[in-house]
Amino acid sequence: MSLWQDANFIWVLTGTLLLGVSAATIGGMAVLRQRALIGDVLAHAALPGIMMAFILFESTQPGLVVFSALLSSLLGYYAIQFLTQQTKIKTDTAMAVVLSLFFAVGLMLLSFIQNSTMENKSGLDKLLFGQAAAMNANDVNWLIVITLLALSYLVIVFHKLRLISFDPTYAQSLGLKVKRYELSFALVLVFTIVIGLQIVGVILMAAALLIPISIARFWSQSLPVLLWLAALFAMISALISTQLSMQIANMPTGPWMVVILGVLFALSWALRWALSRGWVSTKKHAQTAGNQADV
Amino acid sequence: MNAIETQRLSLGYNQFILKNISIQLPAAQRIAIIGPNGAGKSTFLKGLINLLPLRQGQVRFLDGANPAPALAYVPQREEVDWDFPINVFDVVMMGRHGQLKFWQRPNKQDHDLVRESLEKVGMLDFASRQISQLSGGQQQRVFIARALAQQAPITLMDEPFAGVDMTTENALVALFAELKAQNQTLVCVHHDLNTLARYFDWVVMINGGLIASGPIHQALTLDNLQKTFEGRLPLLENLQLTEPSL
Repeated sequence: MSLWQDANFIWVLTGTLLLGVSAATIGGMAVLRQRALIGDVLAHAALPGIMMAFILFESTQPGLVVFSALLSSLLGYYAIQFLTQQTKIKTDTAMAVVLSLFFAVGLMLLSFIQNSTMENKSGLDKLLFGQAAAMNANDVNWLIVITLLALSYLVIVFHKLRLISFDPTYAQSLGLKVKRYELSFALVLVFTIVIGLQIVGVILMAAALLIPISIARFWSQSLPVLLWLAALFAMISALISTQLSMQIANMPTGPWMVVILGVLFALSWALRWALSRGWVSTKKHAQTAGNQADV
Repeated sequence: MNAIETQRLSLGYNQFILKNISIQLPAAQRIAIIGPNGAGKSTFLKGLINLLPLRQGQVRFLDGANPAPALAYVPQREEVDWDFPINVFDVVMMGRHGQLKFWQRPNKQDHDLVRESLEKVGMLDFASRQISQLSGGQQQRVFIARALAQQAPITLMDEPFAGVDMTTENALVALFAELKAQNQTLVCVHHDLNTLARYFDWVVMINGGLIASGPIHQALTLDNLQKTFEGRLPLLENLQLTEPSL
């Protein structure tokens, strides 16, 4: 039977494609806001919430997971704000503190659950590294909703987000409600992350958010184009990694996605380098030299 | 008529940097704010636009307007990442976004205003250029064009002449004169005392508080300068001081 006739494969592929696109675009905006690591922190901060909800309700229903992860991540988000505003701790330290602290609590709760007699606990440890192969129609429906939400949010407030990313002080001087935009962005980011946890897991989530835009930066200097390219690279990695994990035994989708993104990054770098040396094509040489001058 | 009036204005971040500034700044003038490093010059500008966590006292603007529509702000160039993927036109268009709701897109009038503002600073030819490819002086002119696009009656600039080439400096001086002729008010943090009297009409001297404020030919006295700079007085070779008429 061909892979394309396998319903399970179609679900997994759709899921990884959707996650790739939303993570690449939303994550891309976070990178440009110079908040690359916020996604990593929010992903780790989701863990204790999911575990807590499981202890309370003994369920891994997507709705419950999303809601509890959302609460937990937002708590982490405000913890960073609190630490940077109320203490002398700098942003990077505050993010590292929140990331490890929330993750540690999550791991403690996870090991408590695994040593308990609670039922349905089998999927929980998969959140750490993700397990795309376990996705079903219900999960994919959630992904479709979240992806549509994230993309329409990006399209609608794109100009304001770009302004705030480039020059937040100026945005504030214009009378824009910068805090509100930042919170709404954090919410969309958290939604994307929470949905992605099942596929790539807590630990590798950052890669899905950050690598696609980093590859794109080799190829364009226009933000809309960058976001399209990031989405494209994410889709390529999703396509290849799902094929690999389905055709070869014991090959996990999430790590493969990240590795393929890494390969695309290396290839882009090498091609750019070769172009700048005039090794590949002389026609593009002038343009490349121009691009290099401004880096 | 006054463009800006403050009463016992105190400003700061964790603690007050500027205290009890009561000042009246006239409209349609080119106003320079001078003082030593750390005197609170940038703090004063940011405080006027309400960008600071600590603020006491009162500020009133021309026609009682709020800061957002009445003031255009030109931050220091170093405050942003010039490798950000965006072109000159889109940066200047940011000046129009204060008036646009989050779902609104710029219309033809906004586009015309952006082109007009770029023309005024001599950067229209660079409209589609990536900002990472600009020189320091060009970056400064783009920031000023962005403020012009706001069409605010008052423009606040934080060291517009810092690190710019002569072409830009001359272009800015000409622009300032043009803005003054259009009854615009300019408030600039300025460092070079030698060009102060040529570029500006009014001077505000601060150092943790207000030392003096007035037309340059009245306020720029040796006594006031010494109080402002406290022995850290910069070189004053070409400076024409007004001796106190006694």
